Amino acid sequence: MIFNSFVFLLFIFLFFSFWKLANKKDKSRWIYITIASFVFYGWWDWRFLFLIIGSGLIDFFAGKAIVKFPNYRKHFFILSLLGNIGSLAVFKYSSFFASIIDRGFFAAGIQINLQEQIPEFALIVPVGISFYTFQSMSYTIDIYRNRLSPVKNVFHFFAYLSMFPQLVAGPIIRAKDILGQLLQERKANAIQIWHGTKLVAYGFFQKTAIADNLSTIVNDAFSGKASFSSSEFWWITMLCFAFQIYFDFSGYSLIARGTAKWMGYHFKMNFNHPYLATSMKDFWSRWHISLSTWFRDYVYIPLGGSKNGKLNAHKNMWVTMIISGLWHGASFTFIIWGMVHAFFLSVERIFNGAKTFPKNRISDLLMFVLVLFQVLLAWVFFRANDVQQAIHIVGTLFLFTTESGIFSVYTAAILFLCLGILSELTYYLKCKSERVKNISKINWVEVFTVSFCVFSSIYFRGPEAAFIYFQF
Amino acid sequence: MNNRYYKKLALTIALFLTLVGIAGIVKKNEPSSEIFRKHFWTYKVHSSKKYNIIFEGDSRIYRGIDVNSFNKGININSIHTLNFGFSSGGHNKDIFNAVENKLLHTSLNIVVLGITPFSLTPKAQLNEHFIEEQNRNKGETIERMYFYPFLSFFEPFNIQKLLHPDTVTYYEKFHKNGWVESYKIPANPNEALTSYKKEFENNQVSDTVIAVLLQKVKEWKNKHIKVYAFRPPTTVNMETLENNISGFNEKEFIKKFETVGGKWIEIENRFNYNSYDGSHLHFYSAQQLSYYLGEKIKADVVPK
Repeated sequence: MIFNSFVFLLFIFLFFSFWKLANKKDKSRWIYITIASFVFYGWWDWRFLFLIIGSGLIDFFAGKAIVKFPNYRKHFFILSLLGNIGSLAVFKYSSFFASIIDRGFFAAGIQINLQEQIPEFALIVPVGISFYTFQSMSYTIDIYRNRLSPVKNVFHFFAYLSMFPQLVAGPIIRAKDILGQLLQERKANAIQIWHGTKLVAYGFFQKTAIADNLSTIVNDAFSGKASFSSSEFWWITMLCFAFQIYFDFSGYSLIARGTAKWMGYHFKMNFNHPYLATSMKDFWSRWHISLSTWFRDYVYIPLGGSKNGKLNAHKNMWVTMIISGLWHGASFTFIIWGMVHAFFLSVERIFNGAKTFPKNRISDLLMFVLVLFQVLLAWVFFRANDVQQAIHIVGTLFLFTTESGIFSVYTAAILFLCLGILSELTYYLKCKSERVKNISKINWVEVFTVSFCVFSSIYFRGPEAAFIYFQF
Repeated sequence: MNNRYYKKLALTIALFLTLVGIAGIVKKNEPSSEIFRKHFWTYKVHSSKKYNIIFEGDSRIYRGIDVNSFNKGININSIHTLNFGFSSGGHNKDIFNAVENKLLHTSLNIVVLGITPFSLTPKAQLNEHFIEEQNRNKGETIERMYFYPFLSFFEPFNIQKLLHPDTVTYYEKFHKNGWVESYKIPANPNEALTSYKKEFENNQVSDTVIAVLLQKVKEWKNKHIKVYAFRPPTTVNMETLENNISGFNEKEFIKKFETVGGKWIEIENRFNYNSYDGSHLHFYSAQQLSYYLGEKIKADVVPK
């Protein structure tokens, strides 16, 4: 089930109709959330529920066993990791790695066709597998590190793991942040309901009005349907894609956070206006925060982090970024995307980033442009169908050619791009100016903004598309 | 404190409903409804309704055959006809199975094949449009089948059209019987030539595809299913292009088709029909052609 569907509206209506009743007791609350979440997920393909249940049960029991049998804690921990990484390997990466092995053998003159041996079911990537697997892994890792106690009730665990607002596209919530919240009957008060409504409204606006309208130019460009090929066209396309993916994913996260607020729960912020970043490090502290902090805590720091010298810190960062690229998809384009970011981050570290400039508005602006430039270049690899296409596009970007007619063919997309930029600018001004901040807090301004967002997400919605991050 | 927020929420809902009401009433109907399009394709594939006569083929079929006009032409009581054409549709096992499943299997069973050169190419056999719709997950299928018809009030504005009213407009009306009543303003009868030229460069009519099709015709004949076929009319330029570069030999195909028991319908005055894009028929030409086909098939199935 996707948020931008009529069925979800019905689902959410039914869910909240009985929520008050189910919320009163712990067990009924957990069972209710679990069943509702399974319906939400199973609406896409009920067969893959077995995967969530299977990998979840492994982690639930591994978590218990790590505490109960301290002498074998490492074994149970490894079992849990194998279960999670194994399901990712089978469902997400088997085809990719088989194709690499095939090509390797083919180069040596041997044809093995490993890719054709993969069973058909393993070729379907279950929606949101990377999200719930990482979430489940963090549970056992935290127990293994003595930072979390295992839960006693299996439904308590599944209510956390499968909680429908964030199940398929995050934010990746940590067990320690949500298990406690699930232990109490948390009633959403008027402020939470209002804030939840605002988040849901902004989320739908970002997704259906902005991101989906930007998809027209991006899809045309990358599928080769567009009749333009100049540098100007590709810069506009990449800018559109940058805002499409941001608003698509940020929109989902906002709807997830808003829905959780209606339930009385709090999810941490997942995006903090990343295109206002003034360094690459700053960008990564604002983009997909739940994932970047996951990688920081469970990959980068265990690898040694910034300890053991600068060279090791670079190496650890490169490894983390490459794994992050691979997390997004089983393709060389995603790996290169991770490497491009790692390269820019390394360069920034060497030159000590923004600190080489005096901190003022001009240096901020320069750094903001530089970061945007680097991010746009990296996005080419993220969105391209293959490496050849990405290289061709990057080459075209620097030919500095122009064409006429782009603005008239893609007026709507460019208009929504401007709207996206304007919304980010408004946030920037709110941070910088008390006056703008105060205006935005006026009751009728808020009421009008929220109404307009919901209205626009219905009547100005673009061609319906699933959320981009579902595929990850 | 709480009241203040509830008041804001109530005001927001009221303002939103006012805006929606105004927009829904003021907004003109879009010339091609996205909501009806989605409902149309899902219904075409997933509806369990059965038919006596099924038209099968590509977009020249689903835009070119008006079932109501055909039924008037054939004029047989309580006949159920379906237009089962799909974009870039080919003739292969996937589509044949679907056709068989939709047949009523009564005393009168007819399959009418729309034979275009493109539909006999390997690329068309991918049947991507049909397969995509067939593989749609159950949840979305239910949503499109049963909820979408009630959502036309929420059809979005076409921003591009609002900003550029002079851009080409595709008028499409989706009929439950599988026909898409279509025309374009402004019309350009040479529009499709370039793309077809490009299409046939590496994708020619295939003997294997024809063999599979003929085998099926033979099987259907043995099951007492009558099979007719015709070449959907298009422009002179398009037909010339297709005859020259697609590798399609119409005479040879007809001969083989009739040998396995199929009946070929020769369209008289085939260039008297109008196409708005050089490939598909304008809706009124589609109605004329459909009536004509109905009469032709009636003459064959109803003894005088």
